[in-house]
Amino acid sequence: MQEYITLFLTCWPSLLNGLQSTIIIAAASLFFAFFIGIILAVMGLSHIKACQVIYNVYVYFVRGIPVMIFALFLFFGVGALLHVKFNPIFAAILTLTINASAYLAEIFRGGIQAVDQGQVEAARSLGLGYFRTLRLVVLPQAIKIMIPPIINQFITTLKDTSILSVISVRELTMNSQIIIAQNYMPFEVYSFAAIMYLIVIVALSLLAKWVERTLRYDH
Amino acid sequence: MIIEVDNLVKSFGKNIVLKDVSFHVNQGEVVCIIGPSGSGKSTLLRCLNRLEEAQGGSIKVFGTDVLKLKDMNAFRENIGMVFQMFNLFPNYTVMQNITLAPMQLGKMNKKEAEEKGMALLKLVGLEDKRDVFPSTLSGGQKQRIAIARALEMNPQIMLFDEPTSALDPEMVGEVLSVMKKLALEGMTMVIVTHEMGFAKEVADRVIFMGDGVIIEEGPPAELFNNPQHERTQKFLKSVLERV
Repeated sequence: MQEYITLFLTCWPSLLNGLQSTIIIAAASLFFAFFIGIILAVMGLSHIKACQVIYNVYVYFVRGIPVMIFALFLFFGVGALLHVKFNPIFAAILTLTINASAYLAEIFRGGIQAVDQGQVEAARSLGLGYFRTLRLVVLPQAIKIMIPPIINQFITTLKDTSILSVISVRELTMNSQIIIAQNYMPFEVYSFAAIMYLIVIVALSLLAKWVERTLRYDH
Repeated sequence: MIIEVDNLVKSFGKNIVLKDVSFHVNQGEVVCIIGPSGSGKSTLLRCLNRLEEAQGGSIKVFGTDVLKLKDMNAFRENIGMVFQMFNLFPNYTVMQNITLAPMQLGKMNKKEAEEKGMALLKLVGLEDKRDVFPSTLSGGQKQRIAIARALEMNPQIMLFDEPTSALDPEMVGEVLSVMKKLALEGMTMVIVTHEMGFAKEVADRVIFMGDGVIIEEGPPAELFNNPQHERTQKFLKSVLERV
């Protein structure tokens, strides 16, 4: 046990560095994905046929391709085609932004559609206009429905960063592999990495629970 | 005449729900629309404030042509609507449900809206529920709040779309008695209902609909006691003889 802790302290700076990259990449990707997701959801909910087609193609396209293939294709494939060497962090954020935006768009669209149509009718029949109805009646209810799947997507994206080791991003998984290549102690080092992921994700889950509880209006 | 409907046609795709419906409602009149499910009663009611778009004919409310109207919002303020499923806003308290629209639309300030809200809560007998959320209320209480919410806008017409159909039997009475109070105060009301006893007692006129047309209409005493049309006779027999 003593040795295990000593080893952990030795690895800690490098692992912490990796964890930082992991969190920064996930946070940046989710930030961009959030806004793109909103725009996409508006397109998906619109009555304009062209918008719906773009929305559907985008969502099916992203959902149909594994993140690892997408990252490899972008970083090596597109890089080779254009004769450029992408910055791995840039490629990583682009990959995860595109991926998460499709899933978030589906969450936003589904959340709004899940609000009972009777709510809209009641608001409209009181004389409230379309946008007031959306802002005062539909969105507050939709957001409540959306919170758990949104946090779920945050967790998924955070875990997906580990895939980015394949395009040489120095995140937590990559740094673990580098350490193992030097000390040949995969059991210990991978367990460190696993525990670090676990702590961050459990913290996120607890936050999700708290937000859900806070947003309840019917007690 | 406060509502004039002429030759109204409404279809959902190929399914024609209203075929050439004409009727009118006078100021202060209580009109009950009865008939079997799928006869177009609710659709007719929902066309009146354009929750459904009609395909043909004309609807005039207060003399304005509803189907050609540009600003639906200002128009709808004058028509209160009560739904089968109550449709209270779960994210607001009872008082917030009632005051939301008039305050947002700049009709009243908070104080005025809440004062009127309290008076209406008194009318429906639920003053003590002003600060609770709708999820804590029974169906009958929800519907009475929904009526108060609609009345807060000072509507000149109230539309009721099967207001007691989703209620447990023991709660039907409390909602009907509020509606009766309104009728006695002279409110113009159009009510789609299956409550024949209520229609008999409170309505000035009863309209019987079947298959998208008005089959028969008249004062309740005539329509219930001496229906002219065979369809009406059959319907009333099956409804009234139910044990």
